[in-house]
Amino acid sequence: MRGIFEWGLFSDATWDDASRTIHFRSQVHTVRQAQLFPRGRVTEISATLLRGLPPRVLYATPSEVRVLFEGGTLDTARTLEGGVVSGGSIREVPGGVEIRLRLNDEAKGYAVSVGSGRLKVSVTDDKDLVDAGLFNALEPVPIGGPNHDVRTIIIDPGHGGTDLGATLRGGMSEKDAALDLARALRSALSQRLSARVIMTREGDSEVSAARRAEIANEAEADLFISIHLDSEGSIKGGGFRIFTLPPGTSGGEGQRDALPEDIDGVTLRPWLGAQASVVGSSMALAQAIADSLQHAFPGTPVFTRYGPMRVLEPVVCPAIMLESAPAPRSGPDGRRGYTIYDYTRTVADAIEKFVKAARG
Amino acid sequence: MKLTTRQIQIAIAAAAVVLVVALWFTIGPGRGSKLATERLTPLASELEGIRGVYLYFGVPGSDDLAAEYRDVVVKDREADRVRAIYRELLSGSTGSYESPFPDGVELLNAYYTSRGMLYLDWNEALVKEFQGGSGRERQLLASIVLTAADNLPDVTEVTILVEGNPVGTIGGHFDVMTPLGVDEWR
Repeated sequence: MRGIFEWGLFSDATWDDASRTIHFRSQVHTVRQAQLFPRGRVTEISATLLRGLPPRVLYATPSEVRVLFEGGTLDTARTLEGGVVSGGSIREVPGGVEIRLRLNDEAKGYAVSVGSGRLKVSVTDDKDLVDAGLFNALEPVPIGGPNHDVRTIIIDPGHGGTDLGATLRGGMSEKDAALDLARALRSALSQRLSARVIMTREGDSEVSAARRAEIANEAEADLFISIHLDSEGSIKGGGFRIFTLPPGTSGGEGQRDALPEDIDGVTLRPWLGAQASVVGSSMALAQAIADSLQHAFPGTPVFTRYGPMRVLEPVVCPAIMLESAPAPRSGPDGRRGYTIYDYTRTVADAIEKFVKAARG
Repeated sequence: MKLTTRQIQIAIAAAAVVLVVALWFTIGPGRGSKLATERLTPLASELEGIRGVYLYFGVPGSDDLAAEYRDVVVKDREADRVRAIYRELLSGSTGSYESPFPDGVELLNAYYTSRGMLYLDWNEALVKEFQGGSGRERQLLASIVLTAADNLPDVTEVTILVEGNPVGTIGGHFDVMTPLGVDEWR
């Protein structure tokens, strides 16, 4: 029996001699054969579903719709384009199968349905269908307080004190460079938005991840931006990574089933699950900044990533961690490295645009 | 009863299939190698068993990972098997990939529960010697989790310990106090 598997006839299975069992690597995928169908003024993404999966709309803005089918697995990742969808994909992400659709300017509404062995995500440019209640309106991500006023923004320079972070070009510590960048970003944002901008540390002090989140939550912050840097070699030719928690995030061990609780009019949220209810908005913010960076620095890699980032987990408002790896001063392709000024201006532009879109 | 030409052809084809299957189980590659080793005095490694494993390393210049296939000598005990796999991971890539582990890191112990939780107890070099940003830290954690996911099918979560104790983070970015779910790192 072992010989059959050693011969590679079954690439997705291995034979365990000790227990005399076959271990299959592949699994039966729950989402299959996804396709995009432009049908007049409705563009439909449809896939076969082998078992019911709860859909979670992460965000549905006029420019992008992102839906997670929690717990699903996908047969093949595909790109999607046609109708009002200018570009998109269906792929497996941590937590399930994600459909992500970039929309053209004509898009007005969206609908998601799961049933009878099929899942469907539809978008339309027909406002009448939205007015008739058949489709949901595409709206900017709701952030901030009443009237979507963004009153407080937290800038969090990573590391500090004895926690040096990464060592950058020329021997500079990440903690010092992050503080410089955070100060520059605070200055840029203060000038552009009539919002309070608070830093989690003003100098070279050690602040725990929990305390950073506390500062944001105590200030009833509307946005939280954690600033980090990495060494030059970590992204070939320099670039950016923007982290959020995973889309299916629901808190840490022992808190996965915990729900916010109201006691004497105060909403108590599980500490590690605080970010769960706004993770879609965090992803929308991350994407807005990624788009802006990509536009400002063509050819520079910009990655949006997920992970259990400990400083983001307890933050109640939309929160991202933005990390840049400096580009070489001049690359072999003649591409010029970006300066602190370019970087802060671009990030501030993206945040300003995001905030103004929310305000309508 | 007279057989038609078509029936004769089908009978010949069926006989050929039976012959091929019989030959496969008699002199197929697995059988051949087994017969060969039976004639020799078994080596210690053959008593313990050689197993193909997939090890995850960093792709230079990015925070992506790549799997490298390797034959590893493993023992019957589950904890020894885990130790053997991670010892091989710590020995580094034989190709052009980068090890995301800092120098001096050792796996001290491994515990494997029936609930699918894998506890990996590392020496303090994992935290003390780690230098890098979130990209390198992500690579390190993904390397640990994906190596478990690919080679230990029953593992659903990985808990990282350092010198026997839980730690909050390795490099300051990722929360490792709570177990790392295998599905979240695929």
